[in-house]
Amino acid sequence: MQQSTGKSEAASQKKVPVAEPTFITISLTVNGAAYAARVEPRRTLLDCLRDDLVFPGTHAGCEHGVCGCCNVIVDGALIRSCLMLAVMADGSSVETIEGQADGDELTPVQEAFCAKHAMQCGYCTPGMIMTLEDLLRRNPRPSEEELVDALSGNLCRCTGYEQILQAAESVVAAGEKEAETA
Amino acid sequence: MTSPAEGGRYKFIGKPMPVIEDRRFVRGGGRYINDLSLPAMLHMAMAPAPVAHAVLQSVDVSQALSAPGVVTVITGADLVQMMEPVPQELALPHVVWYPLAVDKIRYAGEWVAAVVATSRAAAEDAAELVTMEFEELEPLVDPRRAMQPDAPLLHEAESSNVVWNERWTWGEVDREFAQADHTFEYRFRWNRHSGVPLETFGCVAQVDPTGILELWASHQNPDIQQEVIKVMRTPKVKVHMDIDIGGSYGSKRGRKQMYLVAAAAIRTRRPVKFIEDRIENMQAGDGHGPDRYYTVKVAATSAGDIRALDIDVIEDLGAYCGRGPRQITKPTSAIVGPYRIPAARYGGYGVLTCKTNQVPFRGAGQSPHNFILERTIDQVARDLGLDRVDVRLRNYIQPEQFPYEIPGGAIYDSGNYPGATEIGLKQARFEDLLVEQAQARAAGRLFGIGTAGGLDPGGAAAEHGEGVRIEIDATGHAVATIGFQSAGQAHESMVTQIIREELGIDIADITVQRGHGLAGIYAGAPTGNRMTQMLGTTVYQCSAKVRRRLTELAAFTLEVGEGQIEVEGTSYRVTGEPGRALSIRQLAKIAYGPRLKCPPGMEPGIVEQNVYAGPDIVTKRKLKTGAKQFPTYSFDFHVVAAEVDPATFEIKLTKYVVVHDCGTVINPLVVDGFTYGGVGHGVGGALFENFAYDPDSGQLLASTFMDYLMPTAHEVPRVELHEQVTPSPLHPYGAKGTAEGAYMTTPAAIASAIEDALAPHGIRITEVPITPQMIFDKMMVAASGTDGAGKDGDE
Repeated sequence: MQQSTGKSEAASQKKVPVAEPTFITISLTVNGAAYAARVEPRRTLLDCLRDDLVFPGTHAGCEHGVCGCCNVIVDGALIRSCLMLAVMADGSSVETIEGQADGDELTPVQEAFCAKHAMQCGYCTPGMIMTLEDLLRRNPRPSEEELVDALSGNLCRCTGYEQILQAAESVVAAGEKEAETA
Repeated sequence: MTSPAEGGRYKFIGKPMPVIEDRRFVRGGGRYINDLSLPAMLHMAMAPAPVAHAVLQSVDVSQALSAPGVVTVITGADLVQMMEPVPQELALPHVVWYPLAVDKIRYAGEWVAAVVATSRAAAEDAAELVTMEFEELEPLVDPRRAMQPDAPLLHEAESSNVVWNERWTWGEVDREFAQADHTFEYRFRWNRHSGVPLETFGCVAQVDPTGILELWASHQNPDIQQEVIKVMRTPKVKVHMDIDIGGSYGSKRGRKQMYLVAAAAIRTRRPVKFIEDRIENMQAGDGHGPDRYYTVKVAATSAGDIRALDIDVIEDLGAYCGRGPRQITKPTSAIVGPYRIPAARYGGYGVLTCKTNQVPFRGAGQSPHNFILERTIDQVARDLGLDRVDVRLRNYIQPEQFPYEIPGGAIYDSGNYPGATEIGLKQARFEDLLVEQAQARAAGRLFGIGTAGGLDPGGAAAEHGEGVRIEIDATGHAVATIGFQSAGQAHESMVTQIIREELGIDIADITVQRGHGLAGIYAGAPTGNRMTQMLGTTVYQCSAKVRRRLTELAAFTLEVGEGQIEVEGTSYRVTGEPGRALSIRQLAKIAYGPRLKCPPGMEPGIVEQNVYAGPDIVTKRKLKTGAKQFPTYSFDFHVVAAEVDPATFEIKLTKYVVVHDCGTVINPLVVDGFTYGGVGHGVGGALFENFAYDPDSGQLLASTFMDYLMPTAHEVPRVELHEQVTPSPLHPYGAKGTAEGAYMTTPAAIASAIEDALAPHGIRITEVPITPQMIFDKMMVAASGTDGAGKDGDE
């Protein structure tokens, strides 16, 4: 290969000073309580939840919409909070992992995750649980294929998914049993 | 006195115990590095190099410095003044490594300047304003090119890009080859992949008001404390070990990142946080795994006995000599795998190239070794016209041969490889699979069955010891302090379970706290399946010290000899007189009470410390040069069925059976998780994951999750898991280290199945990841009638 000299891109451009940020005030409901936040238009909902508000249980994994660590429910729809701007959530109702348990009482999905040890490092777990919550609300009795399909939008590097699927299946089975006895 | 654990009958060990850590994780209550915020904290972002190899002539940070929110910008020239170079595994005075490029750029994405600002966004904005002038050189992406005499040098003062070159011969290798019925030569390629934890590496530093440099990091090795002292030239260092790590698998060992935030905190006198974004992590996080070209020669008899191996490896280390060389030498602890191969030669080259550094990822280099061993057995069977399983059974070390010394001198503690194989074949209904395969082939389908076994050495760095402190407080609760933080291995639960077993204390009354570098806990790190062996044993030993102290106290108080005290749960009572008993709670009250009520000379309180020095087999034996010893050897046997779509070459794993043997299992929930998760990583390495670099520009082509493909719940098959228990004589409960084995066996098992599926076309699988494109290329060659389909072991 021929040797060449180079300058990195910005060097050849004129000096472009970075603009002072502008801020917009948004109001939203998170886990049933009202919040206001003053955010730059470019701020993601993920960063807003974690850093401007008080919900660090939602995690950043890839910040480009692939891994699902940052999944939350906005106005009833499961979304990647790294791909949604905070300003887009103005006036919305957001559910995060912190809003799942009722005091000390865990949800059936959370209990099943503990019973089956459906995690190791716990980093993807909040996103996984939000994905399952969303699925089970829409489809309380999913097939194995439907479970795999729903969970395939969330990466986990620890578990190989087996104990997560076992946990999900145990929730579905308990739901079915309840329906039978009712 | 005897321990409650002796005799192999346990109350709690071996039974599923809900994992304590899980309760916080499911609530979003894990506290990871990015959840740590300190007053007046600053944030850091990197300006990366745009080219792979160049002389760095100048770096201009003036525009960045004047951007809003920027407090300082650090360059490589600054660091040379502020710190020692980052230590490397080999003593190479001319390979000098700083966290930022100083006078050369050695890989695309290497960090050139670090911008420190009031927010991460402001730092990122300003990082784009850093400019640099450079003179480009030839990018060295292929280590075989970098080895050539006319290749440019990555580090000019070093005389070669080859920084490791050793070769060891154990046993009569040359004689075996000369006398062999058959000799074969195979080539294999293991492409770069790694753990790629979903949490990137992150760290926070501050200088506290007393002048102590404090560091928090998602780092798996707490013994980094000593290195920080040396590198940052200050004895006042406190590395905290009380955060949750969002996955590691060996990959969370960022060091240059910690030195960078330390330098920034020292310079700005404010706390500084750096959390890698995904591209910083993938391009420059020093987190890639092994990257190898293999040539394997085999001497075998016509009946299928393997007599000798001659293995040559070229390891692509990356731009600096981080932790790579350890990965080349690790396999010498299990060089012949589960087989009684009497002679082996092993060696090769560690080569510097224009890539980010290696890290000892899950198995620290044992994974490609297990892959090439099992691939080699399959090839030998095929070339001799023998059955793959028969050749394995024929060569296995037999259960009655343990302890078994392999070439080089490492001794395997225990094992039952034929037993695990038998269970695997039976549970997979191997005979039925063969019938299914015959039917599938008759219908024109590409259906294959694969098997592979793999050794899983446990207890790395056992010679470095592991400590714990256990105290019983004045109210009878137990507090155990450990010297490191975990990345999902449930160590808090393991310590709790062992204390529950040994001292009978209720789980709710046991607290496990993680210490810091000044907490006085002698600690190693969770590497190489280490902690069941090392932490488990030290907690067991420390519990015994606590029990002895309680016994002494009980005997004094009850006015009997210590020999007359028997222990039942938390009750210390006089043998034969159940009414004369004291509970741990009562004894604790005495121990923290007036001294007159305690035995003369006994220290007040109940605080015991213990450091387990490691088993004699590691600490007292000298091995042949180059060889390594691990205390315990777990074993995996996998049976896989795979189908390849004849039109698209999409690969589907239709059955996956694992037999796992790590001796006594302490908590099945945790051990099962390691095994399932290992298969998940193995599927990634076998079929998808590849840190591919562009051969011309040297740019990393897989720096996001859109390009670096990882398996989802769709791609990882449901795993049928079966446990065999062959206890280790080197552990108080008979447990062996485990967590790497399933990962280290899976790629070979999957390759075996895919090769079997494609056998009608004469295709051999010699490289991972195995992609539809690779199969397409091989099918094209096979269709053209040349014999190249089985011959490359290359891209």
